[in-house]
Amino acid sequence: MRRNLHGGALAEFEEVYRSNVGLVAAYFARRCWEPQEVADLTSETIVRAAGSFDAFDCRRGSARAWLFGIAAHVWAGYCAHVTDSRDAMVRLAGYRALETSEIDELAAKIDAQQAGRELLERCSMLSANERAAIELVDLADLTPKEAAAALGVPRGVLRMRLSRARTRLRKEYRVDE
Amino acid sequence: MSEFEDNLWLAVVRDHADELARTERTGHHRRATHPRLLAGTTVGLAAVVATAAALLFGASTSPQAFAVTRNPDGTVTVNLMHPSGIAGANRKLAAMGVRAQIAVQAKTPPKLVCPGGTAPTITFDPASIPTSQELVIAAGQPDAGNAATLKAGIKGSGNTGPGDTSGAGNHVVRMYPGGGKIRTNSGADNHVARMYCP
Repeated sequence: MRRNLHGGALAEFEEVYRSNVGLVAAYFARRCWEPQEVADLTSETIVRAAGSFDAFDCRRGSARAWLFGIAAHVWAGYCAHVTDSRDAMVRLAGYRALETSEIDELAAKIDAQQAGRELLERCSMLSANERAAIELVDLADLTPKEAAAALGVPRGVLRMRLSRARTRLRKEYRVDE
Repeated sequence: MSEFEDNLWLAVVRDHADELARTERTGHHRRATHPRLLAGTTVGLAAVVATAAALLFGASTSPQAFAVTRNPDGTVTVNLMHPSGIAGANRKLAAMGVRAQIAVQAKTPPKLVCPGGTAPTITFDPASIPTSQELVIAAGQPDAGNAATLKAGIKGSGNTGPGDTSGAGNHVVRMYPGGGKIRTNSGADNHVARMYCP
């Protein structure tokens, strides 16, 4: 990653943003049906990342892994709110309403994630940990090392979850055939 | 990037540029720098700066990309020749204790040059920026009238104060505490002041 040794981290964060915001939006597009939801959750992730960029240490993992770790927390928090109060969007209501063109754009992204959404649905027999491993590596394009960092587990554990999940999916696929 | 991503980036810059600009990275460590200088502590620094040079060019990356000048009347003039000068100009503004930052946006044109090769400029009075707020200047696409423009808005909560510009052509953006919004001589929309071609 290019470093900005001469001043603030704005340029560096911009690089992180540009490289990953599409993947983060896709992550939420696999989970939501409403463009505004995708926008708000993506915004929440990016804003949290911007606010804690000084704590990011690239020795611990890539920026992508770090961002997906934040995205996972945002999603978990959002789900908890939905479960608790059915009012999660109130918490995210600080974000702006989308322009029509942005709604179209995010709706297209949601449509484009249909295959990924179906794969996640197929993974319903897996544990949450195994699903997360499959998604980050096979859908979100993280390396196993990045996925391990994003999930906060050792690489060996990630590899084990991944292997177990793929084996179960292959078995399930054969049964379906 | 997509329009949503562009707009989200603008929002990040608007709300977090200052914080990020003050985040230093040395080696593999990131750490927050000291809190921004308070307005009161900048007076002496500003005086030193004002007597030191008329134009303060960035000493590091792009010496020709920007200039930040403290004028004798206390106003500050920012010239931006190239987007690469934004970071340097922001560092200079921060070092001067001026609560103003130029925002980076995805659609910033690759060059910011006025007819005749001059740099787009904006002059504002830091003393009139409300204490709890910050002037945010976003480099924008050149429009038909001016070869390049900057849009300025206020970061922070609360009222931004009624204001006007003194002199011709948005030379000074005045903001006063109390109700109301920024207004410019050009009749531009509230919360918007434009960098103009001199």
